[in-house]
Parts: sequence; C-alpha cells; structure tokens
Amino acid sequence: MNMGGPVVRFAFVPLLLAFGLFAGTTKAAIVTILPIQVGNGLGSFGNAGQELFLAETNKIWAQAGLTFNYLPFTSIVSSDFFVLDNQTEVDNLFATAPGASMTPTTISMWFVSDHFDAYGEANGLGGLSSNKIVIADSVFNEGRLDTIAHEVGHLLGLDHDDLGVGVDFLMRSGADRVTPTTIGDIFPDGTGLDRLTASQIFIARADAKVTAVPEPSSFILFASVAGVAFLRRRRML
Amino acid sequence: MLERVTFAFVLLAIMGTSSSFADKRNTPEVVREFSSPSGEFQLVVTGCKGWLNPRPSAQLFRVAKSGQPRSEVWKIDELPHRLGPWDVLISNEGVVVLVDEWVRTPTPLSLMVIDPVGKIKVVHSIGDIAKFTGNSPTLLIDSAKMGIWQSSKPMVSSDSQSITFFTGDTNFSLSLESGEMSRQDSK
Repeated sequence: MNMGGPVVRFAFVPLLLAFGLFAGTTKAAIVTILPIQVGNGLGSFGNAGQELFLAETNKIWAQAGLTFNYLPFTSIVSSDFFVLDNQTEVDNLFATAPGASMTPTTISMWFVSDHFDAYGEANGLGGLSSNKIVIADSVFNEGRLDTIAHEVGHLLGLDHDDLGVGVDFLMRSGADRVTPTTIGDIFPDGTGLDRLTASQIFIARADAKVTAVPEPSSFILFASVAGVAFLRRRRML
Repeated sequence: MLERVTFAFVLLAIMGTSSSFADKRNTPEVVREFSSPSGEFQLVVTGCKGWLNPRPSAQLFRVAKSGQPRSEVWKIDELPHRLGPWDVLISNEGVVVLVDEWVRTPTPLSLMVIDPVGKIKVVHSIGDIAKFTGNSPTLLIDSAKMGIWQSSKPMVSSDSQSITFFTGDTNFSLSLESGEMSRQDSK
C-alpha cells in the first residue's frame, strides 16, 4: 500500500499555507503622494517641468526601506496660493487644501511658484493629520535634490533637532544642511549625505501613512508554489 | 499646585517650539561687494529680486585712485554658482577666486580662479581638493568650520601670488598665476 500520495498531499497544504503567510509578512513600505500643480490662471504652474527627484528621494529613504509611489499629477488654479507671500497664506493652503487627496494616508503635495522663506514646508510632525506639503520652484531652480525627502520626513514624525542629526543628515534645517548636488553624494555613496539616524528610521516606519504591501518577489514566489501545487493535485486526481 | 506648574512648563515648551516644519531657504544679499586688500579692485555679485533666477552676474571694477569713479574691468553675465559664490578673494593684481556656491553642497565649483581680464583659468571641485589633500570629501565636510570644507580662514601670501587654504588637518596653496594647487606642510 502506497501511503506516499496522501502524506505528501497532507503535508503540502500546511506548507503552502505557511509559505503564504510568509509571503504576506514580507512587505515593502510605501509612501503615496498626490502631486498638485498650482496655477496662477495665466498659464503658469508651479513645477512646470513636473520634476519629482524620485530616484534621489527613493535612494535617501531606502535607508528606512521606504519606497515612494507618486499618483498622476493634478492641478488647481489659485492666484492666492501660486505665490505664498507669508505664513498666513501657507496656513490657509493647508487649511483649505484645494484638490487634496481624500485618503488620509496619501500625502498631498502642492507645487507653488514661490514660498516666502523656504524651499518647502510640511503641515505637521507625524500622524494621519500631517499629510500636506508645499514645494516651491526654488527647489528645481537650484537643483535642491533632498527637499521633498526632507519635508516627507517631517510628515513621518522627524524634526530638525532630533538627537544625532548633523549637517550631513536629511532632517537638518535647510539653513545649514549640506545638500547633495548629484545622486552619487547621497548615502551610502560619495560624501554620504542625507543620512537618517536609527531612531528616525524606527519613527518614520511606524507612521500611519507608511503602508505595507507584500513585495512583488514574494508574491511571484507564492503564486509559483501555488501553481505547482495546483498542477500536482490535478495529476493526482 | 505642582501639576499647574508642570502644565505651565509644558505649555511654555510647546510655545517655544517652532511649529514650522519648513526647509528654510537661506539666501544672500542680492548685491554683495568684495574688495582686494589694497581696495583697488572690487567685485560686485548681483542677483535678481527674490533670487527667482539663482544665477547672479559678477562685475570686477578698478578704482584707479581713491575718490575717483570706478571703471568696469570685466563682467560675467551669469555665474554657474547657485545663489552666487559662498566667498570671494581678490588679489591686489585683480585675480579673483570664487570659493564654493552659496548653496551648501559638495560642489564642482569649490575654487574658481578668474584672471585679471575675466578669463576663467581653472576650476577645482571638492573632489579635486579631497584627492589632492589625500582626504575623503566626507572627512572634509565633517571637519569643516568655515563653508563646507575649510577648517580655518584662508591666507593670502605676502607677495600676493598664492592663497593658503586649510582643510581637515592639511594645508594647500593655490597659485593665483596658474590656478594650480600645491601641498603645504601639515599643521
């Protein structure tokens, strides 16, 4: 009497379930951003070139295992918000949030022509209510590769004066941070700029806006194993 | 009572903390002037209002005699330096050295030597300086006390032929004639 068939079959099902569970727990952490260009009604828009410095941002945040997912560009027209002349206008933009995503885990990022004293600004320090950023054109005019990553850092709970943050760290204030000119200067390469501390990585990954999805490689592996199992069952029947 | 005091301290701490989570833009004056030690040469770096274009112009003027109007020697309409150079040194012979960009970055424009007629003679990057001094760019940045790679103020030689720069624990000299770097003794 051959007991091999049923034993293999019985062993295979829990093995498959266990592997499915493993594939489900192997996750990539994603930050989703809705880019919104602000227009002045005269044909000009912030970030006219639709630059996102995605490769640079991903390289910086790879230290924390985070990947950025940009939704397609949208736009609004507002002469009030096209140029942000003072803090009240910035606060009004965050309060009224024209064109913002309705999903709290999605970061809404407005691209404006100018901000009165900054390259960019975030509306808070971590948590689901902190999900808004403005970015000024000076970022692109000056090739400021790490401002978007810096502002997202605020939304993920990080601050300028976090312990251990030197001038070559991402969260150092723009006033004295040493910023990269090329992607080759971003940590771990070149001059190793835009570093994150271990505690910053922990804080950022724990933020509610960081969503986890199973990694594609795990999914493919799981699907392959399930496919093989299906074929084996068909042969046995 | 203790609870009220604690609450007041917490409130003060919150009020004292900046509520702005901005990446601050630190821009220089739109017009900056630099002079040679004798005062004979003046370099004027001029940006546009609000620095909407980050590339400024540079004009070198010569004052023949004290009290007389200055005359333009040369002009570069658009410097490649973002928000202008971080610092400028001018020799008594009218050689101009632009040091770094105002934007704090490991720049390819760490040292730009411009001769007295406005010709760019040589440009050294921070990588060139690191390689020349035998240090890593990271070490230069980490040990910087001025700008992003200098450990102390540069010195113009008494014959005005060279400038000594200090970086990390090394000195090097920049020839104002050729623009070439040469090693100095360690500090």
